[in-house]
Amino acid sequence: MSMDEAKQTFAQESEELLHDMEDALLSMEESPDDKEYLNSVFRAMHTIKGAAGVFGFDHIVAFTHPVETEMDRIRSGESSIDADLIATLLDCKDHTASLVEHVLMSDDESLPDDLQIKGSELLSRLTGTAPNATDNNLVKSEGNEVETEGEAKTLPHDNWLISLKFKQDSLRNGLDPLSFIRYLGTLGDIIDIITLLHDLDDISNMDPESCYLQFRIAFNSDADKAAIESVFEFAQEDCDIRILPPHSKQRYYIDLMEELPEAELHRLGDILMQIGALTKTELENGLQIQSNEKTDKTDQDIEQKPIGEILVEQQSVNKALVDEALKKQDKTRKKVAQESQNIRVDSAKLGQLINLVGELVISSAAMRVTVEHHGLGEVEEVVSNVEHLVEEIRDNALQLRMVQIGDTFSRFRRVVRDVSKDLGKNIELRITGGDSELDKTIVEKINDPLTHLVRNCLDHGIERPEVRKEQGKPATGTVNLNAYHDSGHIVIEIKDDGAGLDPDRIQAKAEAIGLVKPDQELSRQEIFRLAFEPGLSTKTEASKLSGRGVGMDVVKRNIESLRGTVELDSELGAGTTVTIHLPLTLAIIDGFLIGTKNETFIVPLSMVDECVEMESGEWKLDSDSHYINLRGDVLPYINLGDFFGYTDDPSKNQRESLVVVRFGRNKAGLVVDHLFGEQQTVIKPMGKIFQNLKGISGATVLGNGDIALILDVQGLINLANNQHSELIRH
Amino acid sequence: MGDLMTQGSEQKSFAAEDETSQYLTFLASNERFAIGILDVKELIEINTMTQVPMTPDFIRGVINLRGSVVPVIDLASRLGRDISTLTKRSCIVLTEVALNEETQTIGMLVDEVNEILEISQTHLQPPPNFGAEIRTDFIKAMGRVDEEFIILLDINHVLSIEELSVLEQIADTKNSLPKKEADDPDTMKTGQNTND
Amino acid sequence: MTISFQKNNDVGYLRVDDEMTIYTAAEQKAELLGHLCDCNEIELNLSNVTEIDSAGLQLLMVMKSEGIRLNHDVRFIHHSQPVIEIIELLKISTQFGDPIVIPSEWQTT
Repeated sequence: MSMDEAKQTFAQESEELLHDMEDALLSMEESPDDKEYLNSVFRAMHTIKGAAGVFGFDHIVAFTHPVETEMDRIRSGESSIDADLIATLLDCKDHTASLVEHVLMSDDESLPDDLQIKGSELLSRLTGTAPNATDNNLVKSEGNEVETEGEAKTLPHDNWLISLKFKQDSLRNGLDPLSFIRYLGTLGDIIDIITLLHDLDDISNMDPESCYLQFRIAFNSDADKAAIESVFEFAQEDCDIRILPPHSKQRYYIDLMEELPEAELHRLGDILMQIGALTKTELENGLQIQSNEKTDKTDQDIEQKPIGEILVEQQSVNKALVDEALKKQDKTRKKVAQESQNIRVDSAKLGQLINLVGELVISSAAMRVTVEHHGLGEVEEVVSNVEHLVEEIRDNALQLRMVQIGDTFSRFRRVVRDVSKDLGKNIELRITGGDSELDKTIVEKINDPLTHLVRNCLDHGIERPEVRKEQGKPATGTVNLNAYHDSGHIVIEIKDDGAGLDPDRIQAKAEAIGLVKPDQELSRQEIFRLAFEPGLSTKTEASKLSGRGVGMDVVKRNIESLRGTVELDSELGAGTTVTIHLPLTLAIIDGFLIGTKNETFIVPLSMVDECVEMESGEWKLDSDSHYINLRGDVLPYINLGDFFGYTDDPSKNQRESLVVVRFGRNKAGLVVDHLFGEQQTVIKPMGKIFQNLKGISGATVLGNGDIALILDVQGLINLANNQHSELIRH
Repeated sequence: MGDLMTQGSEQKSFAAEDETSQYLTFLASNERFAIGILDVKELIEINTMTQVPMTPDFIRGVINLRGSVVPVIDLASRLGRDISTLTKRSCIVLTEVALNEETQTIGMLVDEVNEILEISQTHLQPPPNFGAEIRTDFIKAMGRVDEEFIILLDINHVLSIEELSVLEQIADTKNSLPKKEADDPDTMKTGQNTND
Repeated sequence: MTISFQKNNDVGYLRVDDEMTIYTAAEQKAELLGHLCDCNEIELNLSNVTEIDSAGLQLLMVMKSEGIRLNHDVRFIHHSQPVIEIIELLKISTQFGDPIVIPSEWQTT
């Protein structure tokens, strides 16, 4: 993995973690006692710190470490959570994001002054909220070596404990224990040493050439366990060696252990060895003892002693560490079980798969055409099977790209929180329908328009608390984000209970900038539609938020580029609702193939309400007023062929049909010549040239290789309505 | 020869080196045009073309190019002439046009494709400031072949996606709310509804 | 004999004039412990110990512990440089409890 890739991975993971952290912090505001949120924040800081350490991003380590420490203090109950602390932690989250971005953007090792200052400010704010915190807690970290706090404070020395017990033959074997101790001194400081004689009951029996020496050494060193053990490498045969890590090391091991990837399940010994708490020799000895015990015991029923227990008995590792490793093992086991359900896949690969599935769908349609053309009855069954499978493959492939919209929604909790604070308003965000799914590409692209709409609610919609009270509304305003599925679309509603829009003012403004004629009569819906026109901002004074140069017209354009639509409804004094309709996917839909004159078109099947034959007598066409009377329902209609200006087909089919299409609450009729039936439709982009085209939303390739255009039902319904209002006005 | 030299020095900034480039020549509304051979992706016969309603005349429709939807521009119409009638010799010249960082394949409908010519850089002249019957920014240069001048088209302007889609927007506002003052009806042939 | 011995008022004055290593330990043990039993008080002059290793160290420790067991006073005096070094290394000066005079010609090793 190159450094750049590493940075990318790091940045991506950090972003996810920080997002979780923000979520957790915001949830903490509501339920400060929920430990899970606290853990989530801790985890984010901890993991980022760890990863930053691995990559050598020292600034990030230096910042996240004290934050993590503080979180730990809160977890242990030493500090308590209040609004200030959460605010500070949110800032810390932002600052971490800036640091990550800095790492990503620049190769410069040093940190710009502003970030540096911001960081120290935040840290003092953070520890300021907890008066118990001392500077000791803000141990600076250098490189990968993370010094840890806590126990270090209570112990005057934080040392390795090494116990050496030389066997009697060691001197005769040419070993001099003293030389090992001298050598040990080169790796660190021998803080204290206790020299004892062992197994020497009777001096008279003492063999002066035998070794009775035993040492207990307190040793201070940065070396890892394996390095320390290697000092005694040659003495292994003749000496009983136990190396216990310092307390802080214990913490460090636990940290390391938490950072171990949970992708694979490891054996306990391997985990301990990976973090350096256990050396290979120790493990081998332990395993030896384990298997010896097994053979010693004749009784088969006696359970083999767990290796963890043996290692503790052997003082190779301490119990806390083994417990921690067991926990880790357990966690990994769960995670592995979970991950077998989740695989990360490059979205480009998915895109490619879906393109191929699209081609498969078209080929399958081509096959159907050929079979029917040649009347190959005997392959009918096979073809049907294949078609059925292709359909299933299509649905499954599309499902792969589906994600829940909830994540996008919950990002706004922060926006709402911050902005309402800035504006001095009390605003609550309510999220419903977060589990509605839609295509990932759409989710990504809907973020900006949504942000703008939500900000509009906050800025222009919700009034100040005093104003609200005057009007008899609750002081806290509400912004609702809701999503649900409707006829092959996802509907997103952004609703506030704020001031609402004044239709008269919108119309006046529209007249002022020449969008409508002064005497023009507009329906309520038409007026609100004007709000999406460029140059219409109902608020006379621009505020800090809306001064970003992005208007409702951009929102509309963005949504339309996703083949979606946006509508606005508002009641003055009661609030505004913006409703966005988006297709669930940009790739493949179920279509309904219709024909008029010599052209064929696709209507998304989900929008087709019903089809009625001309001669059925159920409908009557009023060609003067462009209305259809269908069983008493009066619908606007479009004669597709005429509307598109096609010249009459000489062999004109007199049996016209009516396709009733529906979009949201609106219905309209399309008068066409032929109904060809359902058709799996792979949406092909038509290119930028057609980006402003209304009424047509895309194209597809039919089984015979011809292109059929996909009708934009919403656009057509609007066109049909306009056609009608035009008539009335004239 | 002296004559040539003078011309060369006059056009120094325009054609510094004596290099030749290849150009594909074709006919549109009985005029001869050319584009650099490097701009040509491929030439295809006209098979079936699907009309796109509510678009300007010069957008003839879309074709299926091995599974992709490719728009076809009527060159004659785009240059301000009459719409070309399809004949056996009609042909689509596929080119690639850049927009921002993307490229889009666009087909250009011409009446007939002729030969590939080599024209020396020294035989190129900048577009005339006046007198040409087509927009000067559509002309990349005038190429002299024997005693005749051929207009070398600037594909990125003739087929400018920005412009093509903007033109459409104008066409489109006719049918969208709110109603603006009616567009000049002559610019539009399609998209009108019969009951106006 | 590498150990000189003098007895005066039940105090044994001993001096090791040799290395104290695995090679000499057996011989030295017998003699040193023998004197320890005979005398109520032992003063061991280590000034001529040219080299000391683990076996020698063990012997010194045994002397001390045996002295405690027999309630005989065992003192080490005039530690030679190798002896001081080992006492420093193992930080057993307090365990031994003898004042150590660091010679002026102390050489850093």
